[in-house]
Amino acid sequence: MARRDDESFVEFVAQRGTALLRTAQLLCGGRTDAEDLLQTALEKAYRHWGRMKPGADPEPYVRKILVNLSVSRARRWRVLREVQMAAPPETPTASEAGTVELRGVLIEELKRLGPRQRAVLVLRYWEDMSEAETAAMLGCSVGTVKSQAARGLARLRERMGKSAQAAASRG
Amino acid sequence: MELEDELRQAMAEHVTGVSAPRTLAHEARRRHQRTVRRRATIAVAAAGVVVAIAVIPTYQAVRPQPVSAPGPEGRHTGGGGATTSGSAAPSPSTAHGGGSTAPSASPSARTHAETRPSRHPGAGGSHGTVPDAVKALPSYLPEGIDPHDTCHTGATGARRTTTCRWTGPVGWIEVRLVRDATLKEPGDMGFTPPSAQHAKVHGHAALRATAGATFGQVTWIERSGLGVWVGVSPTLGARLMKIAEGVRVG
Repeated sequence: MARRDDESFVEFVAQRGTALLRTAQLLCGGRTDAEDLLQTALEKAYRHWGRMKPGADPEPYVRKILVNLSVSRARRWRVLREVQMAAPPETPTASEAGTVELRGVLIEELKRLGPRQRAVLVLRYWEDMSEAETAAMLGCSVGTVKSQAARGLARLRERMGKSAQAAASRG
Repeated sequence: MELEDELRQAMAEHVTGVSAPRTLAHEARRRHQRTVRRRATIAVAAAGVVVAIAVIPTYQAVRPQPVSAPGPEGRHTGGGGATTSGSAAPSPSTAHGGGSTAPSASPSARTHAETRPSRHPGAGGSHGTVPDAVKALPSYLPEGIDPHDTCHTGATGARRTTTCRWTGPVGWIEVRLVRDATLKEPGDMGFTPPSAQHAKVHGHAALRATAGATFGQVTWIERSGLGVWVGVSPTLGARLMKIAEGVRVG
């Protein structure tokens, strides 16, 4: 790989590394896992860095690697049920006003979704991608993205409802 | 608030404070280099295995092996090479291929100098037989039999016969390997004992001289085109089948 490409790689990672790491963390749940996932994705991208068009934006390519890696890794290792948790998982607690910390519950429920469903939600609502862009990223149809997003949100709603009821009964 | 907006907010909160380490690019490059090295190592190891798999049988095939008599140390001597011996003089009984049904009646009647060809390939006798690829290796020699063999190879038409003899105070053993594409069954070798009974050697159908024969002999087709005849002196008749089973044809 030429020196210029090497430099451009370092520059790209310096500029977009944090955004990619955040996406990785949402995709796989844990920080350590996210770093490992991102490093693997960047290694794969680096392997083909020299073949990329000089003017083209490499981020969609790296992001696609990241999403595919997270889905395949989750399937392979069943990390869904073994999400790394250095600290005990957050449990929803009643606030002073008696309301449930919905955001913490949402993240926990997001981690429990299937890898593909989670990827759809992250790409749609974190990356703000359109359904078509999400479908292209995941290599599936727009209809699949729609149904996965709807099912994912429905599941979150359902689980949050149960959590809210449980919190209310505790409170 | 809509669930989607809540989810956006939750995600934003979840990743607040997350920033990529400065070494991320360096780590990615290091991983890449490590992967390249590992792949190269695996490729070299795989190539080594392939070469080893290919070379060992080739080496075994071209390595000169003695027709083997078990040597004094460990019962297998490597000093022979008798099958590849240059002597072309077949034993009188094998020179005529299908004609004879018995080995030389008395092994001691032949002098050592007469029957023992040079053991060095290329130092062969006047017939100039080419080295024979087929080898006989008796894994069992009774006590009292000299493990040094005398071998020679002769040809009659398309038939090539390698004869090896082992002698000693207790008697003699003779093994003939007959190579002839027409050999299909033991009777084709022409060494069939006058009075024979069916037997099995190495799982192959064999013909064995009956108990009343002058000396023990058994013959079988080891594989298509390769027949084996084993004869022993009357003193070793009881051990004929054990000796025959012990003959390994390479």
